[in-house]
Amino acid sequence: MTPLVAAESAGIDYGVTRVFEEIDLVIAPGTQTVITGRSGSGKSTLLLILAGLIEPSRGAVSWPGLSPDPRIRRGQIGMVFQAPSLMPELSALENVTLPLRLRGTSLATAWADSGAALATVGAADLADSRPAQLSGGQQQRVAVARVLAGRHLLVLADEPTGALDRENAQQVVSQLREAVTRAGGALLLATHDEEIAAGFTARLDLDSLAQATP
Amino acid sequence: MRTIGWIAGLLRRRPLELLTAAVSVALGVALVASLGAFVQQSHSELTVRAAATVPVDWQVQVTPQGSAAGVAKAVAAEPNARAMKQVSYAKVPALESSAQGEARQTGAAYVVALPSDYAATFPRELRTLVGDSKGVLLLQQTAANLASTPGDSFVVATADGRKRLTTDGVVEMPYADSFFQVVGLAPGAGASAPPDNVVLVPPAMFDSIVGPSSTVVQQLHVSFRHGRLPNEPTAAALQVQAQAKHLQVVVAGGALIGDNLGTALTAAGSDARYADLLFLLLGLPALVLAGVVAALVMSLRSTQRRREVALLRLRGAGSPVILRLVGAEAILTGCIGVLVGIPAGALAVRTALPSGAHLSLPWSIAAGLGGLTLAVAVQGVGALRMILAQRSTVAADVLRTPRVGNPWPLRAGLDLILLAGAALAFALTAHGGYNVVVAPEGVPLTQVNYGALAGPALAWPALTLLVWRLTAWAMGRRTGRWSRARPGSAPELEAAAIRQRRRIIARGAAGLGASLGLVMSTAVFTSTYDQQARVDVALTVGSDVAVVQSPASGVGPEGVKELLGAQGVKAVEPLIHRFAYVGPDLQDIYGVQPATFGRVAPLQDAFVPGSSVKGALGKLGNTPDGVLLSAETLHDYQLHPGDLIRIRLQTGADRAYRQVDFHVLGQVTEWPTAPKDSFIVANSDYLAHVTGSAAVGTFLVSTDTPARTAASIRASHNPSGAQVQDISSASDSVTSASGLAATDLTGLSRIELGFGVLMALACSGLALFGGIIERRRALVLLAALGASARQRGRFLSGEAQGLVVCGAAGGLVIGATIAYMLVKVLTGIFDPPPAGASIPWAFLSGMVVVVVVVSAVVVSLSGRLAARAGPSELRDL
Repeated sequence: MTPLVAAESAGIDYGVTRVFEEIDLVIAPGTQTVITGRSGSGKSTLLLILAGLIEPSRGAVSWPGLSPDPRIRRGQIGMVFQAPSLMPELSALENVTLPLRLRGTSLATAWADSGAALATVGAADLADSRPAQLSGGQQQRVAVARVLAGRHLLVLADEPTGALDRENAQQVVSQLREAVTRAGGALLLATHDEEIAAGFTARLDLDSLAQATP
Repeated sequence: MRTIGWIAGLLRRRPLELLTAAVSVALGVALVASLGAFVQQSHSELTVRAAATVPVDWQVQVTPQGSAAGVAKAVAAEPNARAMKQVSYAKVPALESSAQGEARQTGAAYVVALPSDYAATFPRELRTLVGDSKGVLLLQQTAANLASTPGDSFVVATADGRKRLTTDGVVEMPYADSFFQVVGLAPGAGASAPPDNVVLVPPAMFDSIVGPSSTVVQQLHVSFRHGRLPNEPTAAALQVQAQAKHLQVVVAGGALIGDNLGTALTAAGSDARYADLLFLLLGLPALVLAGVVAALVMSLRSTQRRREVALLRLRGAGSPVILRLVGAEAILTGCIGVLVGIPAGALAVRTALPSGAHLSLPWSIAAGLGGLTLAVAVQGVGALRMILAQRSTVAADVLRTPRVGNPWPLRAGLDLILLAGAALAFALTAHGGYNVVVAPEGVPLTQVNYGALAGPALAWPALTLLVWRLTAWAMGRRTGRWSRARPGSAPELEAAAIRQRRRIIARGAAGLGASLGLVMSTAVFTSTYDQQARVDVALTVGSDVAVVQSPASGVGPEGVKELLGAQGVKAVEPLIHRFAYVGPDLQDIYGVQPATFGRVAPLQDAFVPGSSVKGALGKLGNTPDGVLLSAETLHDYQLHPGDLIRIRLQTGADRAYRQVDFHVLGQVTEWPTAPKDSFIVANSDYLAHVTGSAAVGTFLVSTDTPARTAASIRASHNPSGAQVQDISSASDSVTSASGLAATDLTGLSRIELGFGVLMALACSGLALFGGIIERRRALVLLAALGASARQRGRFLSGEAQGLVVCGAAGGLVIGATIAYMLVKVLTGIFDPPPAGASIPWAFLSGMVVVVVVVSAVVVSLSGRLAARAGPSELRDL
């Protein structure tokens, strides 16, 4: 099966600081992987590299199972950021429709899919609220709904449960896993929450990777 | 120590923001300093020019109780006295001549004894027209009355006998009314109608001519060193008047003083009011706007500052520490602004104002203090509000959206209230005839009717707030429904973002509108002023080139042929000039060829109230005995169109004044070469027929190259030795009715336009730049969500379009309204008053294009810069 993304000896430095050494990684459709590691181990940076948002300092990243056009590929990749990352000027519903509209989805379809996604994360009643009117947890649920509505082939989630209580955290992770399963895609989820990490069979531990590297 | 560390950190890490704020302060400081220099320079210029126009500073008349020698000694002791000449004159019953075998006799005449070096000492008083400049000289009008030319003889008839003299030359006395003034009356009240008949003779001949029975007036004509006068015209006038009083005390009734210099300086003091008005109406809005722009630019750092304040709090800094750090930054910004602004102001003065103008110390100090205060107030108040808000955290700040509601002045309807007030004030001013500078009856000094300024003063904030209100209203209704549907576009989301940012867009549009309004109103006002100044010069000269014949030359309309051969000549028109009595008033009468006169004359429809130039000249052409009269004549003699009017003209071989019938056609207010008060315009053929002479006074020449054509005429097309004037050489010396020279307004408008353009660009460019920087996180997020550069650009361009379109439209409305009000309220500054405003379309279009281009460049470059999603920006999401 053609992998969605493959990293070959990818590494990155911030100035003189080496964030992580060479990583070889292949993500195939249908896989769900958790990335763990202490703070500063490079979890977020790795996800940004795999999303194609930043270039690795060393090695290479390719997306054989995704579009060669980076603009279309961006639409095939969905990201949940550590902070909720919503457009402050737009309502919750508009925030969810944003990536769909940017991909060329019609307004009616985008609104229908977004409404359904908001309902899935239990935020249907927040559709008209601005981000500043929402709590941290509500904002994160809207951000997750944005990924769910996108039906992306590759979902990269960076600490998506940081602002949520235990119950909601498990619920959001389940929703993300179901969404990628439905789309036939893959999920990479970075977390330092061992309980959440324990639910995944595939794990990439950046701490142990660092120890293994001389 | 902590403060120094903070400042060092700012200089190291945020030099651009600091410099931008300092430059905005510098802009305001430079504007205040250069406007101050304008006020000082224009006052000083008025003093110098007023003093220079006075032909004789003092006419000290010796009384019967005084002695000429004693008074002369006292005058010589006066400080700053430069020169003094003794003048005597006496009135005699008549002058007689017998030219060409025909006896002529004038009425009463003045015989004046002038020293031989008088003309050299007081050059403005005498101008030689024909013959010698020394010896026995006749006034131009007297020579015409006696038909006397150099070499001819005439007789002075006195009670003691008759004395025959020979004419050596013919002269003009441009200031004869002042020369023959009744000394001792209230300032400015002594000037009288100049006598028609004057003979100037050397002092040695005087006694023998006038005889012992004539009453002789003895005067000392005095000039002072004007370089030592105070700059301020009123102060200079007071100094000269005090000096005159001192002399009167010294001579103890031995002399009366005709203080021409004091009178001229007093008048210049009222002219200075116009300079002050210009400062108030054109300069003050610019100053307010400069303050607003500086505040706007400094507030661009408010988002960053909010985070800094939150972080400082997180590290345990209390409010006093935060205020101290922000205060230090504000003082640093202000100091850099002042240090840059004062030299920038000096540069602006050097570039925009006439040479010799310089920064004034009090204004520079005020500008510096103002800049510092502005920097501290804007930044300090901002920080204080953040501290008092107690809610600002870094996390909360990320999702903070701008307020969407209107600010309190708009909620209170202040714009509409001010607009109604402006309309009412303007209507009242219009009702009063737009008299801003008024001279109450019986009061020698003028006063400014400051109430008349209320119209434009209220219209400025009213219209600016209205632009804010309408822009916010329009932006609040954006839905994106009418946008072109394109794949990947999200017009409804772009519109939603614009709706949320409508207050910021409206604020920028209001600033841009006010800046463009300032530029436009200044440009229209200046253009109208320049247009009228050109018309004024053209009216003074008569046309592009004027060939003024001497009275004795007798050149008729056939002289046109000779002049048509000169270089660059397009058309030539003869203008006959005579003197005529309307009742007891001696007036100038001009004869023209109505069908063709418009080819050379700078005529405007405003000069013939109730008609047009074409209509009035057409009527004159169809009515051989028709005349156009001044408003004063029509009013004083209760004349109406169609009335018969009997005018006395010199007719027949004896040149005696006889009645000639004319018919009134209408009113005329201005005419080429005519005086400002009363004159008559008639048909030249009829005038030549009834006077028996077709002698032309002036040939008016139309050309595209006035100086070259004038030189060509002087060199080889001037057989009669006429005076040749051209419009380009004369333009330097013409001043307006208000006493302001074109250079005064040019300097002010250069400062205004220069700073106005900078402020317009600052309002559009910096407001957009600030908005984009504020949305940096949203742009990075858009990039992370897969938005292309084009898609990100659409989110920004909608905001830019709203700001620029509403700002430019608002600017046009503000500019047009304020310009209209300025032209009306300051009618007194124009000479002649304009029929309508002159709009410099090319400049204004160029200005709007520059604003649009700069805005587009700012959006494009800063959009790319802001959306650059590096690792740190993406990790901050």
